[in-house]
Amino acid sequence: MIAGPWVLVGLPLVVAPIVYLVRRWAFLDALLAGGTAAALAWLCIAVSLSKPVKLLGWSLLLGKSVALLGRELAVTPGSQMALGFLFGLAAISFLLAWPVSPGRSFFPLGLALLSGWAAALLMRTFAFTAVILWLVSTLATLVIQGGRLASTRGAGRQMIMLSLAVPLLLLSNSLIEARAANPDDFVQTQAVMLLAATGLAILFAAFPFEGWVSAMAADSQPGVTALVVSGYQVVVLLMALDLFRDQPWLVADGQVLSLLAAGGWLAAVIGGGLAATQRHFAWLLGYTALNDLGSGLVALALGSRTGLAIAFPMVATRGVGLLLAGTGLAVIRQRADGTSFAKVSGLGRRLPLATAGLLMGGLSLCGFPLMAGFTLRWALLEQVTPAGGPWAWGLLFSGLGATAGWLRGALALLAPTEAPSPPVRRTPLVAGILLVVLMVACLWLGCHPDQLLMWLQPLVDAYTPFVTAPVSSMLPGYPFLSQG
Amino acid sequence: MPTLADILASLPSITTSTALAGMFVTASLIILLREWSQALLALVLQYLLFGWLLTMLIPLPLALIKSLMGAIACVILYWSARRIGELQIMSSGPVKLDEAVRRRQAIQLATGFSMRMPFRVAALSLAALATYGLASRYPLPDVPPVVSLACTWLAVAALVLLGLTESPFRVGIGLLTWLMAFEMFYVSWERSLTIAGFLGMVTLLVALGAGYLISVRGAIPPTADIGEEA
Repeated sequence: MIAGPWVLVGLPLVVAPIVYLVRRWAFLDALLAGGTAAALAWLCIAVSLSKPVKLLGWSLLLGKSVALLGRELAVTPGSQMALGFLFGLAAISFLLAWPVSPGRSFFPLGLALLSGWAAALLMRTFAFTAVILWLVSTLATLVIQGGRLASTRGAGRQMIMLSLAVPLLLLSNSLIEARAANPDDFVQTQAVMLLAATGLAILFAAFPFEGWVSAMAADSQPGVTALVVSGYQVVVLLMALDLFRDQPWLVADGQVLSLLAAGGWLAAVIGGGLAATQRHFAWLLGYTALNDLGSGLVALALGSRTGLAIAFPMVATRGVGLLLAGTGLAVIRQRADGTSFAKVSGLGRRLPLATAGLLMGGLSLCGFPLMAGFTLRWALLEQVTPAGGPWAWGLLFSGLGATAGWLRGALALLAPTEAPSPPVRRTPLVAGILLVVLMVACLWLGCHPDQLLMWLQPLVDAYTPFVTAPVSSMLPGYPFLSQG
Repeated sequence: MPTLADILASLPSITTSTALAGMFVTASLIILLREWSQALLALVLQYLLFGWLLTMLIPLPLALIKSLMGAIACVILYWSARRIGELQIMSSGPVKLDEAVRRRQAIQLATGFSMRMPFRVAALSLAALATYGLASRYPLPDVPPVVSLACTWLAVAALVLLGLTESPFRVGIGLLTWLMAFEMFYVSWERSLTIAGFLGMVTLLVALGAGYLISVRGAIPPTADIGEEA
């Protein structure tokens, strides 16, 4: 009987070389990579952990654990759900990538990234999860650059920040193990907290480590940004929650969570503020993603069950928003040879589908009414209000700032063109169909957030034990943010 | 025939303090030198000293392997940086002055610093001061003082290097220096060979990633407005 982890980690690695060999045929590439990811997504979503299933004559038990390099790999209900989302997102991302060509290495390396993320999620040892995440992030540098002879800032900064963060987490983990012998050592406890908080703040792109996300979004192909940001955020979120659950003392006094909350809030405010002033869609998308990531971090740092119930769905809605906006932007970028408002001016009338996708995705990330992200942003505002006005006002205005940026972009896209312009190729059929599907999903999630919450309920239940204090005792730790 | 361990043991003149002083010199040279090949040579020397200090903490074969990984990483960076120069020469012939300047800028963008020497000297001085302050106030636990000082210095030097430039070559060297600092401290805490193997892979992947970005950066015409490219 084949154990589930072998398939989830091994299959993408087996298919990756095949995909590389047929890289000249982009459609075949996309089909192979997308098909593999879709099959694995189906496996994670539809198959029970405890019941064996027959696949191509082989018997497979998803919940059976395996030992790899002396460490246990096991699919838990939480990781099963996260992997289902990750593989599903990757499948759409691969299929969408075909018409907008994000570089020949995207498909094989994308599969390798998926395999690495899956291994990191299934690994039951923190140090191994962190090191695998590090390896995968270094590999992601190649995917982010994608062979483009353009700025290397985004890919470089991603590699730098991840390489700075993971060692801090590894050291904190070692100190945690050493602390078991002497739990009353105050200095060591403070050192662990500082290392863990700094490492996590970098990984979550909290202030003052937020710059790499926007740089990456601006410099890479939009579809790549969607996959990399969403994929690695899932791993980081679960890794952080596993750490908090296993070491409850780390978050018991609220210091680490307060730091993360403040960092997330500032990142959201900076992201929203800068998004309002952008004149390039790529940067606008990057800063809006930062605004959403910051808000998600505040939700996580609330340290409450409701906070988790907001943070998990936000990862999903962020994925949809980034993918939607990214695909629309990739189509427009191909046609306009750039993403500045000046270059895309008037293209909205000639590429209506791509324009609608871009704007809906962007507005969803801002938490615009009726879009996927709206309900969660509203719920978050409700949760932070008791902590003091600045928390709520900051998040509200940052969202409005990002929205203003997208509305300015919409005006540029839909601006009437005076001179007769050359004809523009229409949105490719496959991209068009998937854009419509994603737009429907975005609207549906905006109207029925309860369905998403219900689906993610087991994940919230699994991590609820880490909850230690109500929101109002967490956030006002920072006098400059609280009303006193 | 004497073994490698015997040879190393018979080198009393190279004390750990000498190795530490060597690390100060190599990291300083990496920050100060503008020429990429000289900076890379300093990094190779730094890896040798790193291996030497590691023998205080882990068995000699493991320390040698870690140094060897670093040396391979240096070779990857060397190939990538040299490739840019070769590409420029391949497209050469009698060139005008502005074309020569353009080619020089392409190499500079991928491998060099954008700031001048006085600024780098000031940054180095601040790094040395910060190291002194940190190492004396917060010595790292469970490692000999000399290793603690070396780790702190390498970490601070790496951060300075990463803060000074976005050139992929310098970023690669900065990250490898950061990894050195981390590994020197971490080996005394984590004895797992698997983790050690993974960290070796990280070293190679960082070098590969930086090498790839060096190639891309070197191939961009410096006249291209990459800031507005998005």
